Parts: sequence; C-alpha cells; structure tokens
Amino acid sequence: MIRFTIRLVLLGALLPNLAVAQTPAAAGAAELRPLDRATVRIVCVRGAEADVVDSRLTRARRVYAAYDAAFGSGFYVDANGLVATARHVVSGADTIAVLKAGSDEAFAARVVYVDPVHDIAFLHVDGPVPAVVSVPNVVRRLVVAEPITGSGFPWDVDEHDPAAFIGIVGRENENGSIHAYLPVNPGNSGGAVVDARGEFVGLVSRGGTGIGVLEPRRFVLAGLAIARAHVTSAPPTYEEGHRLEARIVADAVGTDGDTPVYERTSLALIDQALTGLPTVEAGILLGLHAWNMHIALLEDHEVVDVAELPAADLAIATRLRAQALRILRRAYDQAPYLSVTYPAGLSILVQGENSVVVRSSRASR
Amino acid sequence: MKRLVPIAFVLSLSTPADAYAQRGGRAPADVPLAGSILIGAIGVRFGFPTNEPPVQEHERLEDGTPVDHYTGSIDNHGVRYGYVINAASRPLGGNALETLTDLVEETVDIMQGDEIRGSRAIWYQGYPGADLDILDDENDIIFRVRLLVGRQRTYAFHLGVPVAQARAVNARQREFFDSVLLDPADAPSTAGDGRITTGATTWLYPPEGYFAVEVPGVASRANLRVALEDHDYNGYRYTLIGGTPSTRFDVMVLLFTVRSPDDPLATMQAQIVGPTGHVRSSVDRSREGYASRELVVDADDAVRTVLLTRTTDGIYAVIHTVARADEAATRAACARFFSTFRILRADP
Repeated sequence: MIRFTIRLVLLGALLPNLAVAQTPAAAGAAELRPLDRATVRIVCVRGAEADVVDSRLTRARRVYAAYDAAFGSGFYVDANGLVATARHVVSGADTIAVLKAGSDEAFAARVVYVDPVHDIAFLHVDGPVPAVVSVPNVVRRLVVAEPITGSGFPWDVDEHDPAAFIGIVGRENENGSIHAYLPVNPGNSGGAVVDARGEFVGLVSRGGTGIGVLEPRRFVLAGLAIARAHVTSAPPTYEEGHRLEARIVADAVGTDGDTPVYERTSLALIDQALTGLPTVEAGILLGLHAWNMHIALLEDHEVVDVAELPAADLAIATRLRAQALRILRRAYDQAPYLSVTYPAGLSILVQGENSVVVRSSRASR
Repeated sequence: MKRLVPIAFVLSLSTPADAYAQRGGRAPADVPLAGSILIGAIGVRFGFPTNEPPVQEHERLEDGTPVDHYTGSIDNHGVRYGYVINAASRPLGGNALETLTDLVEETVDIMQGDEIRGSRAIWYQGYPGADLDILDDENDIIFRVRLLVGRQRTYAFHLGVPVAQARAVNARQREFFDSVLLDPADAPSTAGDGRITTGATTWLYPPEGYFAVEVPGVASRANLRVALEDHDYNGYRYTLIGGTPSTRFDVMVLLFTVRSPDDPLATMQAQIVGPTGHVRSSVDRSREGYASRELVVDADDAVRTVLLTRTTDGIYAVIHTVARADEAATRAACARFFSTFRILRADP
C-alpha cells in the first residue's frame, strides 16, 4: 500500500476551473504487448485521517485529509470486463477506480468475487476491454527455471503505461503457490505473469528482494468460474454516480505522487456529485477532496486566509470550503460510523471555517 | 490500560504558581479566555488563555500501544489553567466506565496527601466523565478537574485557584470546561457496560469490533471463545435483545491474533450450522473487497440467515435467527440488518 501525501506547493490558477484530462505521450513510447494492454492500475480508498502540515510558503499550519489509499495492478481475464487482481489490493476498499494502460481515464469497478483462502479477487470494470490475458482452462506442469514475464504498475504512480519484468520459475511451494525469481515491487500486486507462449502462469501476490510469490493458474481458474457465474447471473450496471465516484477517487488520491491532480476536478463535477453519488463513503471522499482543493488554492496563491485571495479565486475557495463542510456534516449525520475510518472530516468540522490552524509568527501575510 | 495520567499532569497540578502567593487576598481578575487550542489530529478544541500549542510527548504503554500526550498549562491572572490529553493509537478496549474509575483512582493516588473535596459523575458530549475538587492543603489551592474518557483518548482539564478565591472563578471554570469540543468519533459506545442506546434504529459500531451495523433495538456485548480446528479463538458477540421475542440478531467477531484456520469461512460455517442444522442455500460473494458467504440454515424450528465475512485478521458472522413460522414476517428487518453491515477496518 502506498500512502498518498498531498503536496501543498501546488499548481497554478488553472486549479478548479478545468476538467481536462492529461494526454499521455503517444509518440516515442515503447510499444505495448497484449499482456501490457490487458494490465490495469487499481486505486482504492479505505479511509482518511487528518494530518497537520506547516506550509513552507505561507508559514501557516493547516489541517487536511490524508487518504488511506492503496494502489495495485490487475489484468483482464475475459471480454466481459472481468479483471483479476490480488485480494489484498481491494480488501477494505470503500471506493475503487481502475485506470487502463496508456490512459488516465478512471473507470468504475465492482468487486464481484474474493477467494476466501488465496490472495485472489475479481473485479468487473466498466467500459471497453482493451485486451485479455489468455488463461487456458487446463493446468500444465511448470518447468523449473523456465522463463516468465509479467506486467504491472509499480512505484511511479504518475506513469500511464505498465512496466514489464522478466524472471524464471523457482519452484512450486508446498501450499501450491509459485516461488519465482522476479523483481516485483509495491504496486505490482495483482499483475499477471505469463510464460513464453503468452499463457497465464500466475498472479503476483507478494515479493521482495528479487523473489515473487504467485498465485498459480489453477487457483485463479477456480475463482474465475465463480466470478463468471456471478457476472452472468447479475451483470453489474453502472450509472453516472458510479462514474463520478471513480473520477473523484482517481483525482483525490492522484495518479501522481508528486502533483495532485486538482486541476482535473472541476467545481461542476463537485456540484454534480453532490446528489448523485452511490455511497455515503464516496460522498465523504468528495467533501474531503473539496476541502483539500480549497487548501491547495490558498497555498497556490501563497496566502494564509481565504480573504486574501483575488476576487475570482476567493469565490471559488469560499464555495469549495462551504461545500466541503456541508457534505461532511451531512455524511456524519447520516452515517456516524464514518468517524472510525474517516476521522479527517471530524477534524475539519472542528476547525470549521478556519483554513488555518495556527498562523506562525513568521507568517508575513 | 495503565498510566493514563502522565507525569506532566502531576507536575502541573502540584506546582503552585507564584502568582497565587503574590496576589494574597485579592480576587483573581475575571478575564475571558482569550485564546483557543485546536489539536486537529485528534479533533479537539477548547478555550484557553493562550494559543500556545500543546507540548506533545510520545510513549508506549506496557502492552506496546503507542500513546501521544498533549499537555499545556498557564497562569492567567492568578488562575492556573491546564490540560492533559492522552491519545492511544488504538481503542482502549474494555468498559469505558471502568477505565474512568481507573483514571479517577490514579488521579487520587497522584494527589496523595491532598484531599478530594468533591467528586461528581458527568456525561459530556457522549463521554463519561467526572468532575473532581482536589484540595492542596499545603499550598491552600483548590484544583477543579474534569476527566473524560473516550474510545481511544482520555482528557483531563483542570483549573487551580487559591481556596479563598475559589468562588470567584466559578464562571471562568464553567466557561473553560464548557468550551471543550470533543471529537464525536471518540465518544464511547456504551457497549462496554452492556447497554447500547435504544431507539428505532441506531448504528452499532463498538470500539473493539471494527464493524458497523444499523440495529433496531438494544444490544449487549459478551466475550466469545470458539474452538475451531482444535484452537481457541477469542472475540465478541453482540446480541440484539430488543425486537420481537421470536427474532434474534447477533454479530460474532472472532479474531485471528495468533493463527488463522485454513479455510475460515468453511470452518465457521460448520460451527454455525452445527450437527443438526441443514444448509438451505450458500452463496459466495464479496463485501468491501473481503471474501463473504451468505447462508440460509434450517436448524430445528428456526431459520438462520448468516453472512460470514473474512478479513485479514478475523471473521465476522452476522446472524439473524427467527422461528420458522415468522420467517416471512421478519424478512424486511432481516434484509435491512444485513444490508447495513459493513467492515470498518481490516486490522483490529
């Protein structure tokens, strides 16, 4: 799991005015294999705690929401939108967004089946299926030291393309998992590993120091049959609220570790999402995101208080703050248990209208 | 939980302020609380004579639990104001009222030699607490202390004044104590004393349970020990004791603190079905990214609807039991009970 940390030195005056998706660089990028095109990044939010930061620019101490976010990988296993991943990637996820290879567009997803014993889960993802990893319905015997390769989204959460890795089969463990020599890192969990023919070998479960442990094909096949049955009997449907939720998740936690993508969340999106989100958890995430955006706007202008902003941005910041407080109050009234996993909102409500906790003696503005 | 009152609290209470002696028989000036303290990380705000941030210290309890202490005190026109807040990294567990009793006893122990003039139990913003008057005979100072106990935090606010001037600060004491705004999330569920607030429906999310469910009545909590695969597992059982006599709602939480059964869902299912029960239906699903199983079990003259959810460190069993004759009539309440259940944290 990678904990997202806001960077309070933020972007320019474009801030909440636009809803423009970044265009990934196409020219010059390495060509993707089918395996890579079938690989997705999975972003989950499980909660948010309050954090207090001393701004380097304004010398103000502020409270903001730090998300408990998890990033992992997954891969399409059939043309109906089923994606396999590791169970621990989606465990406890209140809201999920899936980003496909080469894109920063966030898609809604639902967990349709979780293996109770093995580290395997299946999602159904909205939208078109770019490619599928072949998971043959027969289990072949692996050969020790045979070459394997995989794909996933490790470390750099601002990258749009998955990263490939290669290795060899080490052994089959007593519990059925595969011990492989693979350079897997945080973010690779849930990614697919295939053999020289491109057929699925295993799903990355855990690893480190050059060793990767894979959940083997036979375990994945067993879960896949159940997941397919669920999707067939009750095909998931997605409404606009689910798509908004996915966009908010992706924007809130950022697909970029250094530069939060506030400029992509427009005020119109927030207004639209106020009444259309499918869960109260998605709603509170929106409130926290609005609060963080208003803090980011202050820091971007290097001012301590909202009143010091230029007129146009003053209106935006005031609206963001008012929306945030309104959403948070409503969410805690509706679902008081949110205080356990989303205590950040309570700290913000305690703080009320104040964008700054303490104005340092060195604050000159 | 031991050592709820850190050393800083002792010093703060036992060191008389010079200002008291200097003021002699004069009444302390009635000065409003000019500042306020906000500790955003734990969601608490209160009026104080200064905006000076608290002193923050960190320690580990005997059981390894990290605890942050936030302390501050100041002499203001002959009155000493102070506070000590202890914030543990996880719920204190147990009974909140017992924890409060421990806190009062520890405070009294620390003030050994001083006299407890008064003690009054209070409820403040959903927190159990106590107001104490402690007389420091040697320095002729009376300390008024408000203790509050939360799910993960304990709070002590105090105000010290020469005995002769005690009445003059009544208004200031009220202002100080009543200015405290606490994080509602830390307010203890009353599950610890065996009662849960009644009402049409309330959210039950006990501090040691890591789940939430909307229940139509009153629930009680009991410790639970279940043998699975030759090992004993500890946990809690929450039972709704309201509703109709023929209907029973339970939430069982078993924690896998040392080891986990090989297949927790199957093992727990066997435990719930028992030797005479019969599984009418079983569907594997997922819930918030956790493996879940929905069961309907016929057991003697009753029908049990069961939701099993396996998390990283435990298993949750939500069970609705109803007499077979009442099954249709209670279906709506049962469906609501299950639909509102959710896991709040994977790692209790």
